[in-house]
Amino acid sequence: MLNWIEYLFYPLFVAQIVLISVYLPGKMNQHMSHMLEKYPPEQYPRLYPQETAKYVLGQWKYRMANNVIAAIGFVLTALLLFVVDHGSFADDGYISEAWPAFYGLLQFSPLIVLELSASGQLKLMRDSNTSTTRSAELMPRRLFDYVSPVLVASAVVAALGAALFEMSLHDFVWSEDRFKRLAILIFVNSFFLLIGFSLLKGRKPDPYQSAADRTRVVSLNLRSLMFTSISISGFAVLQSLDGVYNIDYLDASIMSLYLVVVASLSFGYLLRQQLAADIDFEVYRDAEA
Amino acid sequence: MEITVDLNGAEPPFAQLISQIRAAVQNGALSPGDPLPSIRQLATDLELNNKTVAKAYRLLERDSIVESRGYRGTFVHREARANSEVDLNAWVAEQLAETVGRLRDAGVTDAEIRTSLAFVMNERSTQGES
Repeated sequence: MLNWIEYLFYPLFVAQIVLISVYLPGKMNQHMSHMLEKYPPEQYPRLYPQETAKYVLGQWKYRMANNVIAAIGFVLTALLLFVVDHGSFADDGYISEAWPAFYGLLQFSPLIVLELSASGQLKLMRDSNTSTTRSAELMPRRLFDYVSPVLVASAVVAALGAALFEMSLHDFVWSEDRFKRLAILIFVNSFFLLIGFSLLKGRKPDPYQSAADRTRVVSLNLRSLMFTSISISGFAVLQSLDGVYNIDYLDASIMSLYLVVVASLSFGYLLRQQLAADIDFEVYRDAEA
Repeated sequence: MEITVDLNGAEPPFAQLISQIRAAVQNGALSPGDPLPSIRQLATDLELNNKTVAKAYRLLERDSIVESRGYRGTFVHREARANSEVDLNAWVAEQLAETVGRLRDAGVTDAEIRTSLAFVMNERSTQGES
């Protein structure tokens, strides 16, 4: 017999499976196919520094990896529902947050591989760029030109608020648990700061990208980082409450919800905006054609 | 406004930067007070050495086309348009032509002029270093 906590968890977990391993990868696959069809390598060779077969194979691998992970997710749901004795490894007998957390890690792995592969492609594009002319915008790239000060302030206040909330709930007494939570919050936000800094001050990853497209991509990525940082701070607040108000039974549901929110605000947001964007693909045409 | 540098161009990159920024000021693409990218940003974007961009900015600052405002960055000088009309290279060529003409009239040979010019230039740079 399911209790209300399980009624809450299972729909969230299925939403996690469908969104991260079915819906978003599906959209990404559609985008890849659309790109190959509308901007073929014969006409846009600068966009494809490798043979076409490699892109087709890469797309197939990405689709298959997500299909397998989605299948694992549905099998896992059935196991959690009918086989796993939650009381055997959790004192409280409720579903452990480790299930959605580790499955979430698995779900994000194809995306991480895709990101690394995209970086490799950009490097190949830079290496194959034989042009001796280089262009740059004659204006400084400053944070607030790309993202609203309100959003930046919200992310900072959310992170500081989450840290202060955690400390104030425990009367500002240090403990190992406190240290771990604050360290994670600082580490994640520092990582985001590094990415933001490299987006603003780093070299142009795509040598052919127009100035307008670069501005849009930097802006999109910075906004996505801010949204993700805010949701991480929100999750940290929920975790702080969890320890004090004994709502451990909601851990698994909160973790699933958190992964759904993070995926929507990072991958989902970037994908949606990229699909809607009016990118200048003429820069990728063969200069000699 | 976009700036383009040809790394294999006849003119050295720092000179291309100077002439394009001057031209942008003259045609109004850059207005007095407009911010310019930092040396590091421009060097990164154009795949140039920081020193190359720093040299261009230094020479533009000497000619009062741009001005550095410390940590706030580099901006187009308020008198940039008027100052950009002044061609220091043309003025130097004119002054030298006048001087060389006078020396030749006095019977000094070209070889002697070159030797003396090199001597004076070396003296100046030695004084500058000490």
